[in-house]
Amino acid sequence: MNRHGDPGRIRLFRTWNEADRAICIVSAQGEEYSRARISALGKAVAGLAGHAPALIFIEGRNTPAFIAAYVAAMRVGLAVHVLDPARPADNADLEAGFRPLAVVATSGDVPQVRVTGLPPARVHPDLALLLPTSGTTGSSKMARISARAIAANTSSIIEYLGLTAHDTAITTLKPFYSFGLSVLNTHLEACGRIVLNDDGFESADFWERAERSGVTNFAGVPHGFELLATMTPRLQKLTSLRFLAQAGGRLSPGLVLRFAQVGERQHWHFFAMYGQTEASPRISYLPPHLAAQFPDSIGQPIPGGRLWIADRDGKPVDEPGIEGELHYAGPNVMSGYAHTASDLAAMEDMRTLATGDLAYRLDNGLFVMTGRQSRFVKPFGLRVSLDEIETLLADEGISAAATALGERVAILAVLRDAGKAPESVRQALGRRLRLPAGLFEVHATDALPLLPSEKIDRRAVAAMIAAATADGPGIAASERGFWHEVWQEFVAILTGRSSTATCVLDIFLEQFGEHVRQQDDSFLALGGDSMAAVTVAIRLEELLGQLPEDWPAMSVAQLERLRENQLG
Amino acid sequence: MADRGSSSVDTLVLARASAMVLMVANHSRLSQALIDLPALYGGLNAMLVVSGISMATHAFQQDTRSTLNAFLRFGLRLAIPALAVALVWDTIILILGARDITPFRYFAELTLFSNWLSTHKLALFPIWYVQAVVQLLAGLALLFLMTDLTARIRAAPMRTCGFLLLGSVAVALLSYSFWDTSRLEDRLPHLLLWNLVLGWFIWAVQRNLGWTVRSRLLLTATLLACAALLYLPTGASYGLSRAVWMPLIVLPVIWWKRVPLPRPLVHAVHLLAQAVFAIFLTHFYVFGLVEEPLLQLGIDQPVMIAGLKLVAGLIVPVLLWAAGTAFIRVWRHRRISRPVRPGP
Repeated sequence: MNRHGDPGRIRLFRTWNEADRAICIVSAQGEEYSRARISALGKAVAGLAGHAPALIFIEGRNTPAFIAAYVAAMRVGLAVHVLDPARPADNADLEAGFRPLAVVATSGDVPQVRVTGLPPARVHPDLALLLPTSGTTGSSKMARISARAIAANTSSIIEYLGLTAHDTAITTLKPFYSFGLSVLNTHLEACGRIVLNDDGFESADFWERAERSGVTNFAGVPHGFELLATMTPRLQKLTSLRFLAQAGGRLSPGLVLRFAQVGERQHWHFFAMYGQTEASPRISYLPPHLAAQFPDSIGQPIPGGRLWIADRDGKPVDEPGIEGELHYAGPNVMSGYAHTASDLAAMEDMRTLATGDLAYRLDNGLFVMTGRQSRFVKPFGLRVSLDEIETLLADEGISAAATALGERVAILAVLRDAGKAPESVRQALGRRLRLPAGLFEVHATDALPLLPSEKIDRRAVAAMIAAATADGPGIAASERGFWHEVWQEFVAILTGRSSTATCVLDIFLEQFGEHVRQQDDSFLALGGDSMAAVTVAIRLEELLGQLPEDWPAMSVAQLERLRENQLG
Repeated sequence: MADRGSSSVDTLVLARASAMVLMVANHSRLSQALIDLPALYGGLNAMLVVSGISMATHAFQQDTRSTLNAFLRFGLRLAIPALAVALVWDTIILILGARDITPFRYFAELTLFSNWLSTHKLALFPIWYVQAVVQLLAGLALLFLMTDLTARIRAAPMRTCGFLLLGSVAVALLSYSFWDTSRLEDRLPHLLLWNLVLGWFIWAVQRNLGWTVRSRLLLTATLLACAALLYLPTGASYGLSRAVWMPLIVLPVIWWKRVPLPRPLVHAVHLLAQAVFAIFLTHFYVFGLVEEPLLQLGIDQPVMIAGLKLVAGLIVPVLLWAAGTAFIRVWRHRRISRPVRPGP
């Protein structure tokens, strides 16, 4: 209960019973902690209550000490930012910028409170959490999450997941990641149990711990589920498993379908979820019974929330199937951003959130996301989603991160399978997306750089690609020498196996070079003449089969559709 | 992939390849070796008809301005490479003083009007064809500009192109009646005009009537009548040859959209059709490279020499074209693929 504010204010853990002997936490070593014991552990943090409203930092670890410190802070009305303990330099910067009252170390058995002694920042009494927006805890851009927002979001998640005191989760994510924190919040609030764990799916310890603890659910991000997809038989051994929950980025529809089907066979549910830090973080979920039918959907809004599509002017679009920016309204929307300590005193009354994600609505009210507004490149006037590229590759079993290089796409791909060379990835992308393979620059890597949240570290990806590019041209240009490529193409032309054209656009580029600017261009519009027509027609025939009479007037896009129809 | 899987070929593509093979065969003097007669003329005439069909498809889609642009593009694509090759070669000849060169001949050939003077050429390719077509296009451009002909063609393709064909036939007939151009082997634009316009007429009839038996019969009759009327009366050996070969190459275009062929042959036809300009420009040079070594090897039978020249005159240019095309394709792909450094 907040001693300084409205005693009726909605906040997390308000029903927490300090005397409750029921087990709520199981440590990685198997030690059990009741609510009473956790409360006792958090006493030092609870002792800061007299300073509330104030901000404290807590080192985010999957340890009883962290849970104790976090629960105590939330219960007494302190605003919390969860630190990544592996980033001491960043944390020092954050401490200087936000001037927290105290920093709580959680590596030991008991939380250790260090009062910073910095001039305390004025903190709004409704502020409960500062969540980093960029995925890197070193970022100073934080979403201000009110106590009401986090409580509302937690309550909604509990409702649609059907969490009860009989549920046991095992931690698979770090608590300084909003999704990881959300798992803790929901289970603690639902009076369920949490098995603390730092091992990944690839670890036998994880499975042994999960099996021994009788977990009913666990959560993961796409990267984790890509790994999990290779070990689904192990899930069979978790006899008490009730559901798996995925968020933290888009899981490829193929994997959603796969987990939905495996879940049906093994009698557990699969929840694909969507959210943003700015929404505390959950926004929507795909009901498990619809997952197999609509695996590409982000589902429906969480209880108490509302989703809609807005056009470029921000006006709601009522018709299904029209793409626009996804907007969300609900009690869990943040109260603005904070960059420094001076931003902590105010809380904006934000009712809606423009997510920056592009989506459309299905007839049945489910939403399908098509990409991120800023995650597109536009070669030849055709918008190509970097997310779609990653999804396509994930469907092929390739973990990859795509980033824009001007109008081209650079891809960092984990190519463990020797049969999957960067060149074949380029060609496959060209064929699938009907774009010149030359637009894709593929760099092989052993592993993708991940944030502590296990999301792809986009900045590190860009740096790795920049380094690879600086070392020499990408695979597009460097893997084979120019003259070797010319020789290969020469032989290919003579043997009728030319491989440079993976799509109609390739043929137009061969003929017209960079005059081709968009997919609406036709042979005629580009000034094609009778001499060029023979070559282009023959090349198109190679690709499409027989050509319609009016092919010179048909656009690249129309000819591509023709190809699709013939393929289909 | 049609080329890999299809066993039929577009007749327009086949006609281009056939016309070029005929031209090379003619220049290799194969018929002279076989029957002691120049009996393989007509390849370039057929090529002009085929070009007329393709040109109509592309040049009459919008307005007169776009037609003029199409003429210009066609003319430049033909003239620039041809002139580049001719300039280098003719200059070498001029320096060496070979092939009865005079400064006037040098000038006349490179300024594209020597086809009006004699059949003597300095360049080792049929530069007369380039000259005649460029002159033809210049005249047609003037006609289109003055009469806004594209709009008329678009409004009534068959009627307009029919009148144009009649007009071009009349021009040729009048020329034959009053001016003996046999010493120039009739390599003059006004005598070739009807070839190009016949191509337009084929396009126009197909556009108006579609490919019906009636339209095909009409075109066949027109083609045969024109060939008979304009080639046979010349009396020259090339007249009869053209009257036979040109219709033989063009008739399949009228009667069939595609014809079945064994797959390797389809690929060969595709290669030849794409490499026509390379063949056109370089086959004589290949002849020169082939003939002398053959004679030195003691191969002096005319049929053998002509046959080997024909084969080499086709294969070597195709290889050159394939090499150039491969270079351009890879280069263009590289341009698309060139690394861009990401921003900070």
